[in-house]
Amino acid sequence: MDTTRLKYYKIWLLAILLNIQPVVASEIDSLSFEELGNIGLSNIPTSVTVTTTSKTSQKTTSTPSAVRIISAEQIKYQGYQTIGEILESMPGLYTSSNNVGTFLGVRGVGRPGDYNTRVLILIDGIRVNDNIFDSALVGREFPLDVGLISRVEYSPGPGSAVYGKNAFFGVINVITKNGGWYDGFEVSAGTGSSNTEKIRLSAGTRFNGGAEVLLSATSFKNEDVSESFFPEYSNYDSDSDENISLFSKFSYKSLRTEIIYGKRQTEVQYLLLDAGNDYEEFEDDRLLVNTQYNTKIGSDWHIELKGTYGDATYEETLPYIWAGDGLKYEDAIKYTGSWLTGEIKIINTSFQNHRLLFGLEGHSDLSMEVEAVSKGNDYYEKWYDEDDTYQSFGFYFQDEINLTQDLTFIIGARYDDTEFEDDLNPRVGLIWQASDTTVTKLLYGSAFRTPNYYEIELLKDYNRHAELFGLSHVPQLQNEKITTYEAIVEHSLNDFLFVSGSLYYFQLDDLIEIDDYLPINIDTIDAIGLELDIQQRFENGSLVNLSYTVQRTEGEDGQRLTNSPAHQVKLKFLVPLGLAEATIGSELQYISERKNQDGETLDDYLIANLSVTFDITNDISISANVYNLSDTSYESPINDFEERGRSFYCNVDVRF
Amino acid sequence: MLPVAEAKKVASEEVIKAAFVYRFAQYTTWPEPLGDRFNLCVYGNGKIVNSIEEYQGRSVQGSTIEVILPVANRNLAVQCHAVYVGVHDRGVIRSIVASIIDESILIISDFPNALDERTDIALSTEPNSITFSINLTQAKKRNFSFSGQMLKLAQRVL
Repeated sequence: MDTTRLKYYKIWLLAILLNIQPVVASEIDSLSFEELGNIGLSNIPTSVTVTTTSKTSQKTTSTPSAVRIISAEQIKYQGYQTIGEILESMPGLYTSSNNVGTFLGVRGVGRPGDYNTRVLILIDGIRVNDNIFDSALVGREFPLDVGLISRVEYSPGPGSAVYGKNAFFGVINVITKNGGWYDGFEVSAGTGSSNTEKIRLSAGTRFNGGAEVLLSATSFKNEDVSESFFPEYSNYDSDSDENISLFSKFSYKSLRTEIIYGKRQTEVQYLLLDAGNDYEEFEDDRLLVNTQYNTKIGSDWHIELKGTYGDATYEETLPYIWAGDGLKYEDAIKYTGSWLTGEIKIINTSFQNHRLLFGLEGHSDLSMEVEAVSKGNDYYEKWYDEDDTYQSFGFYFQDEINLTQDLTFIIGARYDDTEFEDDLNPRVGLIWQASDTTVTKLLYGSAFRTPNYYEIELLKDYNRHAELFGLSHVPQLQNEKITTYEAIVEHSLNDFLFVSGSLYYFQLDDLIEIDDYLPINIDTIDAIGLELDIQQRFENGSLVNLSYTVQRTEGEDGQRLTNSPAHQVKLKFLVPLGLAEATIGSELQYISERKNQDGETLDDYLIANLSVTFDITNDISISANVYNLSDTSYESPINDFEERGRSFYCNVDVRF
Repeated sequence: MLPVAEAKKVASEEVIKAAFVYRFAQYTTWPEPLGDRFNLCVYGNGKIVNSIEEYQGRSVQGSTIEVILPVANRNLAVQCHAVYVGVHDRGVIRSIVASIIDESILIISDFPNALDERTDIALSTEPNSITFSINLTQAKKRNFSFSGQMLKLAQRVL
């Protein structure tokens, strides 16, 4: 890293810190009922509850995971624009992009060419991962706008003991705001570099009697002006991205229904031989419809019924010139899938010192199809069409046993019957509240993922060709498995300073990788890592969060994996300026060098983001954001894609 | 140096929770008229008790708050108008709730699954704020009613 840049950051850091001015909290009595809900906490709370790790409410301190939370407040003041930006601010998570999507790296594993199949992403507990690639991408492809998020919970470590497949390295649950939070309308509009235009319209209310409704629609568009391959075709000189998402949520007492829809279209400049510039097009869409109902039988039985329908499409279109007639045609490949999931979850508290959780989940992949067509100039030919359906079910059980006042033992497992091998994944945790200020957690668990439909189809296709050419068949794919051991210490040094450390080891077996269109179980991966997190609060409401992750993840050859940075340092500030109701949110992220997919070393990088928000009234706020402040140039390990340089975005939120 | 005005207001978790308890007392209607004294019973220990005790002697709906700390095995609950259960042991919460379930005593707790334990109001600690939810179905059974504003400000109303 060059030293002038480091110096630049030091000065900038100092400038931020000097602006921290202690402000005495005003008398709480003078506040209205409404203002009471907006007061910040001067201490770092240890009794926040989360629901992601065990599908039930637990205090973070008694959760079998080093669970992380990013709140709506942090999203607003740090100026996060995508779920990927929220996630990469957390310890151990990093993202990389290519033209088509944003991919998540977790605990040193972010395989180039993998579509986030090893992290389960949920919206309000609803599975977002599709049934073709088992994928939930975290850029603009994500079907929910960040403005609708109440908080994001990330539970690192294996989650298959309650969630089944894909809860491999962790589970991310994006929890949305309620209609009552809006109590009226909200317009959020913004503009920024790359001709970005965004607008989100929302309306929500809670009726007397408790029924709530929230409706929201978001439209986003940008156009990146890049250099044209041929200046004479300057009308084709830009990549573009368009995204629409819709969200609705209705709830009455214990009944809740949500409809989530997102569509994203991307056009990427593409050099068409002999004809100049053209576009390669990518389109994603996803629909999730979920209804759930909670009820209690007596005082000890709590039952939740849940049904989800989902569908997803991914289409890629590539133009070409056919030498035969010199005309332009297009090749399109389209994957479509739809699925239905039903779950019954039962919590029983009849036995003193036990909390039992049982669940049964059935999943049916109603359709999974891949088709490839060539079209253009009155020509249409479907030259590939395959479809299939899968069924699976899982049964899980967990007991949270309070052995003593300070010692909790968690034991559970889930059995999954799938189209592939059946799988049993346990979770064992011992949580010791050593003192009022210290918690120690010892955890063991495993997780799995089945080969996905995309991988199965690639393998089938390979074997068809192998047969034609008299080559030997490649055997069926095995489930991927991971076993993780983790020790966590969480300690409050005082009310304002909190540190946590997590030391983990995992072994991943039968990693599925796609090598030249052939998916095979290739390797065993071993990893050891340490994630440290320090949070400090100040009396003026400032929050500072520093995290450091060091890890070594290697394959059987003893070599560090590709896209596996050894060190990550993340520093976040949130500073109320005490001037014009302004809040500064800023972060620095350092990612050490890593190898790209060709084994070449990519340089380390340090980027800074800065956001200033003015809360003009309770209902009007304006923000200005700069991302990658110093315009650091760094490459994605996938296709050497150049990651985003300096960019700007301004936004106005008005509620009425 | 920038001029320093008032920045974001902050207070400790317990101070905010106690302030909420006081507001709940102001915005709830009891089925019977309150007498001269408003008995606010607190189960728990440490900072939350101290924070609630700050409201001793304050006026609520024309009554004077008397903070009572019930002693174990001695059921004072019947004298209470509102109970704050700051104990995070499910067994203890259950026995407290069971002993007063048919009384018109407003039950408030910050236990993680408080609303599943037949309490009326649950306080939740968020990463940087305190929120509350109301179990309206439960509260109606005990003939409580809440102001429209309180119902509006609640995070969830069941």
